Amino acid sequence: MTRSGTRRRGRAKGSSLWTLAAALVAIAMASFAGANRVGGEVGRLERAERLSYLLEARAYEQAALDSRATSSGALDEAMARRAADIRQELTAALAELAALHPDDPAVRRVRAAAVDWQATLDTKLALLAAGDLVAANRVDRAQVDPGFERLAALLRTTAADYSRAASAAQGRSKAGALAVVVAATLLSLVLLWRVERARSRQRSVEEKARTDRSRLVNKILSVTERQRSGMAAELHDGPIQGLTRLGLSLERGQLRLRRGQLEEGSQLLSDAQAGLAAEVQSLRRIMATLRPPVLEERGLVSALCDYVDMVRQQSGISCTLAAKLPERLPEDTEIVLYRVAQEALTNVARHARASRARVELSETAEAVVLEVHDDGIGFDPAAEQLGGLDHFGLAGMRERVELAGGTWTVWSRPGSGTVLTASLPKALVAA
Amino acid sequence: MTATGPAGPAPRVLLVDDNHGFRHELRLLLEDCGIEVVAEGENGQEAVELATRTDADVVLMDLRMPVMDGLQAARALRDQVPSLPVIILSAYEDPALKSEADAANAYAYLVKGCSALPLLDTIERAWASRSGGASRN
Ligand SMILES: Nc1ncnc2c1ncn2[C@@H]1O[C@H](COP(=O)(O)OP(=O)(O)OP(=O)(O)O)[C@@H](O)[C@H]1O
Ligand SMILES: [Mg+2]
Repeated sequence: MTRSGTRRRGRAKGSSLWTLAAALVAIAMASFAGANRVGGEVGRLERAERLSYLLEARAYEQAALDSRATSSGALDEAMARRAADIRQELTAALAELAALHPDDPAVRRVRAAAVDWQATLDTKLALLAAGDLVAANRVDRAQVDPGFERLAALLRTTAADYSRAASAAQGRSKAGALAVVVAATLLSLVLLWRVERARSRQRSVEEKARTDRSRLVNKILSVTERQRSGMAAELHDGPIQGLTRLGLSLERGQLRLRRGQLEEGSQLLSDAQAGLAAEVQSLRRIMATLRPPVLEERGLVSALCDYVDMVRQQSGISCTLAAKLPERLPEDTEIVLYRVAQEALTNVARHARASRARVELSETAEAVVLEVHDDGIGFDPAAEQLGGLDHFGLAGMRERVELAGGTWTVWSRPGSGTVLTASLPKALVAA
Repeated sequence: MTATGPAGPAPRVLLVDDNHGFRHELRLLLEDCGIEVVAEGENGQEAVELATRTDADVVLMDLRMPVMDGLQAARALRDQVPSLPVIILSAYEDPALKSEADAANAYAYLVKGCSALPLLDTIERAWASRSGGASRN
């Protein structure tokens, strides 16, 4: 009960850890993506700034070439090629700028101004080529020059605007990067902390398991010690006293016989004989509690049959055995089941105030099952805290069965009797 | 096999054991051998009281007893009635217990189950040693 409860809570903690980690990773990724986006924008803005400068420079160059052409009347071949290159560069730069910032009205204005200016330039060149110098000069002053000025001014402000925007974006990108770093650090700290906490929890669980185990071992040892001293006392007060006393009465019998008091002597001898039989009986009882020979010789069912008889005689509880086992079981299985039945019946006799008890042995395809029922006062197994300091029986039984790879359960409720079940796998049998 | 000794025809014994059956059987045997059991006690405390109230020559006492055990009683007797020999008759064949009994000045440490002869012999010798020393009467 308690154990599975602990496990469930552990799982909930685990999943909340993963949720937290996922959230932190998401935050970090979002900040990273944001920083990336801002980073890209910085790049675009900076490029736009550079394009603006380039456009401005090329526009000046073209204007210079143009004024040279105007003053000299015609362009030589090299200058004409250069003019054509510049024109191409201007067009390409404008196209790139438009592609970078398609929605920026400033870009649209620059483009329009450039197109206008180029158009007036073309007009002027056409007039020059046609030899209409006056008209060309008029177009130059009225349209080409102001067009150039407008374009240059626009490009200057655009460049300045892009430069400002770029540095602002750079700041944002730094903040984004900082956010990523902070989130990552936080994430690793939190993860570290959780991992450390999980580890220390694990350690304390292991620690507890260790102390539980050593407590159990100590208990087993002290119970063994207690049983031994009990056994010693039983031997001292029982057979030793009895047999020494018999020795004395045999001495007396011998004395009588030697003195020719035959009747008294033989009476003493036959008394001693009866006493001896009683002592042998009591030694047998002690030996049977240590290790019933019948268990080895005739198997679990016979041994339990004897034990149930003894319980019936000693406690007055109507105790029966129902066994459906066709054959002998492996030695280890028989011993475990015998001890469990013994301990369970001891509890029935000591605590249950039962009028009836029933021991059942049966087998399934995979297991051998022992059940001990009683109709006594029952108890609350949960409140009993299996393995409490002075109560060893239930915890010991369970430990024994589980060590043998089986399962052990006790069902009881105050007022409803008790059913104790121990089931041992047959596989253990083969092993 | 009737014993005679310097302090009288036979030793008078104080018998102390918590096991009634054993005490009874031992008394019968001792009496069969002409040894008088002047009193019986069930524990060490009774042993000390009876030793001062009766004219026992020898105390025959078990070790493991309730209220006061045989060793405590032997020490008390050593202090209160130093001339009275105490024979310990124990179920334990244990050197540690034997040396404790020696320290309490017990005359002998016998293990229960020994046959009657050495027991009677020890009682006789204890009685003789007492008669050789200061008399209580
Ligand atoms: N068949 C039963 N009917 C009623 N109460 C029981 C029964 N079996 C166990 N109990 C209760 O459970 C408690 C624990 O039992 P457990 O066998 O572990 O220890 P114990 O019998 O008290 O001591 P020991 O260590 O000597 O066995 C008992 O003290 C008793 O109150
Ligand atoms: Mg018990």
